[in-house]
Amino acid sequence: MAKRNGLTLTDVLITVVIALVFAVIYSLWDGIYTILQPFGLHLNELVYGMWFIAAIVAYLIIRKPGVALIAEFAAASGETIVLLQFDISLIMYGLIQGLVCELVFMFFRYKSTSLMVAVLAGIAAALSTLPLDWYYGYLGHLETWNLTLMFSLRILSGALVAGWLGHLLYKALRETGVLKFVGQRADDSHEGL
Amino acid sequence: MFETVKKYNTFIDYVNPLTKILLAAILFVTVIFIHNPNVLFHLTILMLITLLILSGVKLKYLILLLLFIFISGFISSLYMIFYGEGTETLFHYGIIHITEESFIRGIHITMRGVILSLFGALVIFTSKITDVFYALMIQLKVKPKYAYSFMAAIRMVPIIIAEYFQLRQARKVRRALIHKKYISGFKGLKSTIVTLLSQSIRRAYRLGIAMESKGFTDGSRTYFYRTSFSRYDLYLMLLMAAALIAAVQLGTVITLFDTTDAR
Amino acid sequence: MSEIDIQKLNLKFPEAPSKLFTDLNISIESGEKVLLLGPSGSGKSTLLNVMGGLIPKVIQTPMKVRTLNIPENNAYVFQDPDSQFTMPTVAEELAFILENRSIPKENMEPMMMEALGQTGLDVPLDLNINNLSGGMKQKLAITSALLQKPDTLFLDEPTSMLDDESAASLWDVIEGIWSDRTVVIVEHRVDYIWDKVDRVILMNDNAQIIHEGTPEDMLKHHKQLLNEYGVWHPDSWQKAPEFDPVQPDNEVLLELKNLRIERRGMDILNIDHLSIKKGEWITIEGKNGTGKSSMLSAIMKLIPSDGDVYYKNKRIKKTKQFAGEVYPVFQNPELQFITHKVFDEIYINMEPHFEYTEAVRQTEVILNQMGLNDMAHLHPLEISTGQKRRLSVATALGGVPKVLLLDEPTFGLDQKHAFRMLRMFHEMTAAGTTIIMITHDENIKIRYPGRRLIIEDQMLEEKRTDYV
Ligand SMILES: Nc1ncnc2c1ncn2[C@@H]1O[C@H](COP(=O)(O)OP(=O)(O)OP(=O)(O)O)[C@@H](O)[C@H]1O
Ligand SMILES: Nc1ncnc2c1ncn2[C@@H]1O[C@H](COP(=O)(O)OP(=O)(O)OP(=O)(O)O)[C@@H](O)[C@H]1O
Ligand SMILES: [Mg+2]
Ligand SMILES: [Mg+2]
Repeated sequence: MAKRNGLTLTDVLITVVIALVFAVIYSLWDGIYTILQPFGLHLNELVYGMWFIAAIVAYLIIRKPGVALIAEFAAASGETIVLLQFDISLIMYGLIQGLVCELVFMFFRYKSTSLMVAVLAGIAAALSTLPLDWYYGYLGHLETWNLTLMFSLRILSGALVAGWLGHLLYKALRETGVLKFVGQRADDSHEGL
Repeated sequence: MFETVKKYNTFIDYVNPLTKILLAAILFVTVIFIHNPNVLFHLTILMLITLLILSGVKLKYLILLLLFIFISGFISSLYMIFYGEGTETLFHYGIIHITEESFIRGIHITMRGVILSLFGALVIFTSKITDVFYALMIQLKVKPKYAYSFMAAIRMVPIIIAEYFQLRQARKVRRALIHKKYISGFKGLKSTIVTLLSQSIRRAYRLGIAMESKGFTDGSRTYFYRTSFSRYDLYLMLLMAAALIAAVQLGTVITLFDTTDAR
Repeated sequence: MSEIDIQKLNLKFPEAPSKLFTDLNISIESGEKVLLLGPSGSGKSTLLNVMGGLIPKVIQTPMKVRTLNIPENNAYVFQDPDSQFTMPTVAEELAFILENRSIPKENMEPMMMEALGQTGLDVPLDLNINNLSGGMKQKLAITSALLQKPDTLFLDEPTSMLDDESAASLWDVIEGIWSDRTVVIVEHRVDYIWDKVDRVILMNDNAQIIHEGTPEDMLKHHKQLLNEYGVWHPDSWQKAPEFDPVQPDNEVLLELKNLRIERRGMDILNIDHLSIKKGEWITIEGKNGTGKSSMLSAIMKLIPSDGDVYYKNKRIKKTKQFAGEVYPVFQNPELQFITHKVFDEIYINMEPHFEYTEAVRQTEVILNQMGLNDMAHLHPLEISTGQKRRLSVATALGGVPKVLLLDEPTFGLDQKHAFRMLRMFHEMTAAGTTIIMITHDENIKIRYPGRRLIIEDQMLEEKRTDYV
């Protein structure tokens, strides 16, 4: 049996669809993000992790190189697709966050599906775009307490919403039996034939 | 896709989508390096005019969209207005501390967002999503499996949305027969998302198989749509360059803000 | 000459506990039309995928085989229209196939027109596929299959989502193009094609081929076998259960007045007046897309509609007011489930009515009745289509609502379970529950309901029933 290496069409398709499901959910919840913003207290940062949960869930499901990046790109362009708003900064942010998740997973050689890896990736992704925000949003000119609040909330969200919740969803999905069909098969041997 | 809201086509409709995306990326980097709020102000006005004239969209839809863009742009910079550093206090109440500096900085950040949204809207109204992916395959040699996965997945979005609403309805009626702890709160939310994801993965898996059974490979293929670069791409690039230069010049002549550096 | 020849096929899915196929042999002649039958989960689709080379090429699955001669040029038509199209419009979808074959752009349109002509699908090329009806979508799937220039066609339950008329018309189209092709069909609704195929192959639950023969031979000599495995055949309904009609009560439970339902701004259904009594058994019929499911949602006040719904003479404004008393079972069973175990799915319905041990006992009774014992520990989304359907009906059984609205409850069920479910409905009506069911199945409509309603030209009408 010829083993197909790399991402198959089905892998990519599933990755993109997962990302778009999150994009849909996110758009339906878009209100929350907006409602949380006005106080300027960065409460919206608490749901920030939702942006890269797609990358983490897709990776846990498929466990192949490239999946996190594609998922993150798809989730970012998801807003364009679902809400018909083209926002280049979202896509740029998405690419950076996807890349960072990808690096974390690569570090674990695309093997681990542990909670720790998911949380690490979530935190890394949360941190990854801070430099960009720094310049774009003049964060250096914020009062210190407010800046600290923003950083902590974002990291918390990366760890909890993206990492922990992502992992929880992955485990629940595995129970639905759908993962039997997809991704890197645990065992491709001819055992028992 | 926008037949209902569009009134006419302009040359921008014939610009290759890749050019538009590239320009958007350049614009993104550019606005980060503009610190003079006066320049940004004129750039906002120029982008607004461009959108109004060249998108070809009916005015009443544009006005709705503009309201949305300006309001959400403003809201997302409130953190800076309220809590930014500054010395010239304008307003102080509890933890909120608005200073002249932070206010201008906030407006500056708003304008950055608005400029990107205005150009983004122009791109959306003048591009077909399928063309983006054909251009990626033809001009950038992106592998078909990526492009077609996106196109196929986009086709599923309305189905997923419809399914989400059906799911909510089904829960609404089931609620009456069971204890509500199974359906409300985090547990209910989780089972909604899991069902939605699980169904979508199953569908994507079946679609992937169907596509390959139709002879799809990642190798060479012909294309039903042709996308290419043309003089229109050049026109748009020139237009954007002109807008930028004009904004910089105007920014030194007509100055709304006292400062030349929002930092 | 044989088109397909597979000898000693062994196949095991990676996470499955045991092999699906063990030393399976099958061969099919060139030009032969074969109908593959078997209970749900017996491996029909898997076998089809092996015959077309999708396994192991696309679906990476360990398999071992002595002889494997399979056709190069083949094409599939699958069951679910929504998961077999890639592109948004008719032209783009057909072009997808031609692009795959590297046909020059200039030749594409004439080829599309020719294929559309062959299948008689008369739609504009730039039409969005989402605007096609189910039957038209399946014709489009066949049109795209034709563009692959296949010698062999594999059809995996192509009509299972269609109403009778669309199904018949689809089979006409298929017959029109199959003369010089080999065709392998998996199908539950066999009435239309039984006489037209050359051979019928029957598989059992263990994925073994237990018998094959001409359609006449199967019906004449092996009907017993077909019944035993619960697969449908043209004479299935001869063994249908018969019940004494139940005399409905005089109490009016549900009343609809001047109900008007819109979808996407279009008027799809009008109901002037309809009153439904306690203990009635009513069927609703109508072609695909006429608004049967929408009617059900409108009655439940889940989608907006003009006009009034009364339950026990009380005007209903919100779902909450009568949810639980009136309970719908939707067309997509998956959407009804909320727990992660088949057992829990029924148990939570019992929980409010009984104390623990009794609730467990009642749950087991229902699992038994629905034939779901063996999968009680599985996730509801994991079980087969037919099992999901039964489980979704079971979610109605807890407090036993006064009115049950069922959207195609017997769809995808095998003989045995369909008959069992019908018996259950009968018993429920006898006990005073009102059953309103949407169904495409003529055999049910003519046998069981006390009243038949039909949707035609955006109107809901009473259909005369001359029996009872
Ligand atoms: N890709 C897969 N990975 C793991 N198990 C699978 C896969 N596809 C099918 N199975 C399992 O193999 C068995 C046979 O499935 P198959 O779909 O071939 O049955 P079928 O006869 O077509 O049933 P139905 O009438 O419900 O369509 C089932 O138990 C199914 O759960
Ligand atoms: N959620 C929705 N939003 C908008 N339109 C819809 C929605 N669901 C269905 N429709 C449209 O309403 C019409 C009636 O659909 P409905 O599903 O009620 O028909 P049906 O008779 O149940 O069909 P089927 O036999 O295929 O189940 C169709 O034209 C369909 O496209
Ligand atoms: Mg099958
Ligand atoms: Mg329906």
